Amino acid sequence: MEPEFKVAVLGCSGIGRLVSTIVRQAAYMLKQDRPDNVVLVSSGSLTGDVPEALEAARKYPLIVIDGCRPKCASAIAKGKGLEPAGVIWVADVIAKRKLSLAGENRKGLDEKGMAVARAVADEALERIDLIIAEDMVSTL
Amino acid sequence: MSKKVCLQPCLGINRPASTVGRQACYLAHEFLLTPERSDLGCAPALYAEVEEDMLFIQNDPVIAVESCEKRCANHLVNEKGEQVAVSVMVEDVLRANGFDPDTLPTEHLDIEHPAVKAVAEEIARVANELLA
Repeated sequence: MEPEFKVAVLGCSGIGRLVSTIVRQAAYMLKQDRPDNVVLVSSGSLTGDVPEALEAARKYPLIVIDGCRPKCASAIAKGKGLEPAGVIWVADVIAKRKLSLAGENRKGLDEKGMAVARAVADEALERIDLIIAEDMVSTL
Repeated sequence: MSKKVCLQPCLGINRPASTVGRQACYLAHEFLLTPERSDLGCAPALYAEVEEDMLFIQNDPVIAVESCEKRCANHLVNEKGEQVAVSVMVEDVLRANGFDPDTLPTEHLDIEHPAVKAVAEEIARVANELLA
C-alpha cells in the first residue's frame, strides 16, 4: 500500500466572531492548496463524536487552528484526547504579519479578511509541509 | 414564555449543507429574528463551556440547525445537559425548496443566496412558533 502522507486540520470554525469565518476560510484554502495531503476535520463533527472525524484526527498528525481567546479548537482537541502536532493562533499571525481586520464582516470576507485567511493558511502550510517531508524521509 | 431562542448550527465544514446552515443562522439571527429575539450559539465555544454559550442553551429554547443525520448539534447540547427544542434539517429544507444540496458550494454562500434565505426563513418560522 502506498504511504498516504496526510495531515488532519482542525479549525475552530465557530460562528460568533469574525475570526471564526477567517479560520474556516483558511481551512478551505489548505484543502485547495494540498488536496491530496490535507484532511479537514470539522469542530462540529468532533463535538458530535462522529467516528470518522475522530478516526481522522487520531490517525494523522493534527494541526489545530484557534480563532479567538478561549482557543476552542485546542479545547476540543484536549477534550478528545488528541495531541496536536502544531497549533496556530490567528492573533499570532495577525501580529507577526501586521495585518488588519478593520471593516471586515463575519458573514463574508472581503479583501482584508481574505488576506488574513491566506496568511493563516500559509503559516499552517509551513507546518504541514514540514510534517509531510519528515514523514516522507522517514518512510520511503 | 421565552423571549429568545438559541440558534445552534452544527458547524460542520465538509458538506454544503453545513455552510448553508451557518450562513442561514447569520441571516436569521441578525435580520429575520434580530438579536433581541435570538442568540447565536457557537459549537466549539459550547464544547469549551464558554459562559455565554452555556447560558444560551440553559436559558433559551434551542433550535439545532443540522446538516446531516449525525445531528452533531443535538449531541453537543445533550452532552452539556440540555435538550434541543426543535431541529431544522438543512438538507430537507433545501430539497423541499427545490435545491439539490450536493450542487451548492461548500466554501461560502452569500446570505442573499436563495438557498440560504430558504433555510433562514424556516429557522425563523420555527423560532416564531416557539416564541409565540
